[in-house]
Amino acid sequence: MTMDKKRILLIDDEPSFTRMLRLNLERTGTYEVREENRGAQGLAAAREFKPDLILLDVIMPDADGGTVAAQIKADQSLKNTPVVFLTAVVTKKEEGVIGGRPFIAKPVSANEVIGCIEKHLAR
Amino acid sequence: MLEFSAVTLVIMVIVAAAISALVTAKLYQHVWVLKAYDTAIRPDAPKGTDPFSVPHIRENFRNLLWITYSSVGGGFVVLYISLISIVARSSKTINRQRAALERANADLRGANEQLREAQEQLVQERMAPILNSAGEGICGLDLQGDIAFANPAAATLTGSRVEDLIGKPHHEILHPTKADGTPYGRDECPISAALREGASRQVDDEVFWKKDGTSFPVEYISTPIRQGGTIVGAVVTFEDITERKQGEKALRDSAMRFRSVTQSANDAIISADESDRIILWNRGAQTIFGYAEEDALGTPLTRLLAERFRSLDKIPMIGKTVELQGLRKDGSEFPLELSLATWTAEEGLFYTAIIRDITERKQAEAKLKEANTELHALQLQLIQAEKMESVGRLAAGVAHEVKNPLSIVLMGINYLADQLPTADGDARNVLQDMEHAVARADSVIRGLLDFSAASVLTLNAEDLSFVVKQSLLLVKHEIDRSHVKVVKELAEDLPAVKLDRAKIEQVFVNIFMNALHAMPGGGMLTVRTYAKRLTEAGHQVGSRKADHFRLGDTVVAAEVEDTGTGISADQLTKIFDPFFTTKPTGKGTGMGLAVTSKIVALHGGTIDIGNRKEGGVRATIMFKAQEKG
Repeated sequence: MTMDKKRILLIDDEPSFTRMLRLNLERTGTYEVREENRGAQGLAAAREFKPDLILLDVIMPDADGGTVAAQIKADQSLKNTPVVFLTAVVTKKEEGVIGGRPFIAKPVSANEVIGCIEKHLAR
Repeated sequence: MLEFSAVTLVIMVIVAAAISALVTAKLYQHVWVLKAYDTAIRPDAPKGTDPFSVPHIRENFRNLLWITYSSVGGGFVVLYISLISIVARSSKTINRQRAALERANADLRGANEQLREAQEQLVQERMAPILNSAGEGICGLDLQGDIAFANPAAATLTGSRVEDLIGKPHHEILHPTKADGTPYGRDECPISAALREGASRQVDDEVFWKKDGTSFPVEYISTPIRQGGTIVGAVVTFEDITERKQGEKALRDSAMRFRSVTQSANDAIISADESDRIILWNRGAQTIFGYAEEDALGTPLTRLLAERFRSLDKIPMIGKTVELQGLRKDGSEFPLELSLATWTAEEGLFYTAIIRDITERKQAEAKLKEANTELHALQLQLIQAEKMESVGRLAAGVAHEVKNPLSIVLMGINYLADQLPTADGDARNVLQDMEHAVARADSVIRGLLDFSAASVLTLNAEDLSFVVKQSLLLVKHEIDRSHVKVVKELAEDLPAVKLDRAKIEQVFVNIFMNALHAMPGGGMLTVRTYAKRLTEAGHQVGSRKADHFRLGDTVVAAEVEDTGTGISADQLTKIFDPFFTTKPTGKGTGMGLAVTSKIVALHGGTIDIGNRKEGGVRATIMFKAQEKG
């Protein structure tokens, strides 16, 4: 059963948020979730965890989501892994980073996140 | 003596002849008397007989005649001899008397001459101190124009000694040349003219020369001296008028400076006497009031003021500058600034007014005031804009920091809700309220974000009627649910307007939603669009920088009217303030109209919201039409 679970990597500098989101995702029984609260470690975590989808915060103290996304896209083993941004979308910087990429606006309910994940995994 | 005798003789002869005739006539009378007598004694004698025919009468008559002629002739001889003797004696007497008279006359002339000389000496003795002490130079001239007399002052003034002047020709001594050094001919010389023509002359525009070659301005009077009607010389009195000339020049210069100052001044400089009559009128006054000098002099000073200022007391104005209304010749009024001063002369008290036309200054002040008002309005706009910008920045910062916690709370609620037993209704209600609270907080945050995110526009030429239709579609569900009837009066072929359609749709959605909330029991929502050309100044329309539109602009407008309860007057002034809402708690964030107003302003448009006379509210949004071409 474990093998069937989709691997979701949460990269966000807010541990409470990643934990809460992880609990909500895990309670569905369909996701295996890993939290990474250091943006700079996002790529390494992704290489190690090999997620099916990455939920990536935009504004983080040590590395912005755009940079991390670019690193992931540049990685041969991860380049096809879908990345969905999690953002408050309140600054020009956030808008500039996400561009036309998929994003989930905070605050967001667990069901909205799950719906979004399913949609992207289905593609 | 011989003439006298002949005349006397002739006279005597005539007298004798006359006497003879008289005697003859008398004799004839006697003859006729004798005849009468004879007739009386001889009554027989015939009447009418010639008496001389009577012999004794003829004899008597002859005797009488002889006696008579003899007597008369003897008398004449005696008379003649007597006369000759008398005449001879008289002639001698006369000759003696004549000689005596001539001697007496000669004595008298001598006495007279002595008297005259004595008098002249006396005069000279008496006059000398006067002449010597006179401040004026006095020269006596002889007929040749040579100086016969000079007083010490004349010597001092000419820088000479009296003895050096005596006997010298006055012209060469006093003024051989004119002031500019050119020769001064004797024929031009007024002093010589006095001698030549006997006319007195007074001159005050020449110079006399001193011995050292310097000159001084002089006033002199040349008066001829006559004796018995004959000119015998002349007197020249003169004085150095250097100081007077300097005084006159100073006065002239002062007058010229005064005139130059007064005439060149742009201000009106006007003097009036105590009875208010104008005595001085400069060019500036003519320019300002329009009266020529000849029209102004003698007229009342108060005529230059507007009627309502004429009765003002001048005294409190003295020494001050006051602003009044002037009256030009053409009857037009203008603002003036008047400085009034007084001065006293022998003739009495005088006023001098310096008047400045301050029309331009007043206009400038008015413009400045208007500019200040405009600046103040712009300042307020700027402050408001900065306030809004600050609110926006704050909102963005707050939103970012709040959204993450809200996300955590929301995720926690979701998680807990899944963990709760289905039967625990209260717990579920609590979680549901919490979820609603998060949604409300998120709504506020979204309003703030809308407000802060409204500064960037993506402008395109849009048809406002189309944008309104699209906006109505966005709220169709709410309209249907609120039982409100929508009336659309949307103009076709409106001029294009440059809009960020998404943001303007947000504007209309906000306004529609407000209108719907104002009509909870249903009503009518009228939406109208039109274009118009601005022909009258008004709110937001004018030439001020703060005005959004100029006269002549074409604007495209949208009006949204509801039939709700309206907005109270005190609330109307706050409806665009952030976080101001009239809705119940939880029903509105108070950011809708603040965001709406900001979006419209960013488009250069205006939004006005007010109560309708018929009830309800009308929101009017106007944008400047895009210029064709």
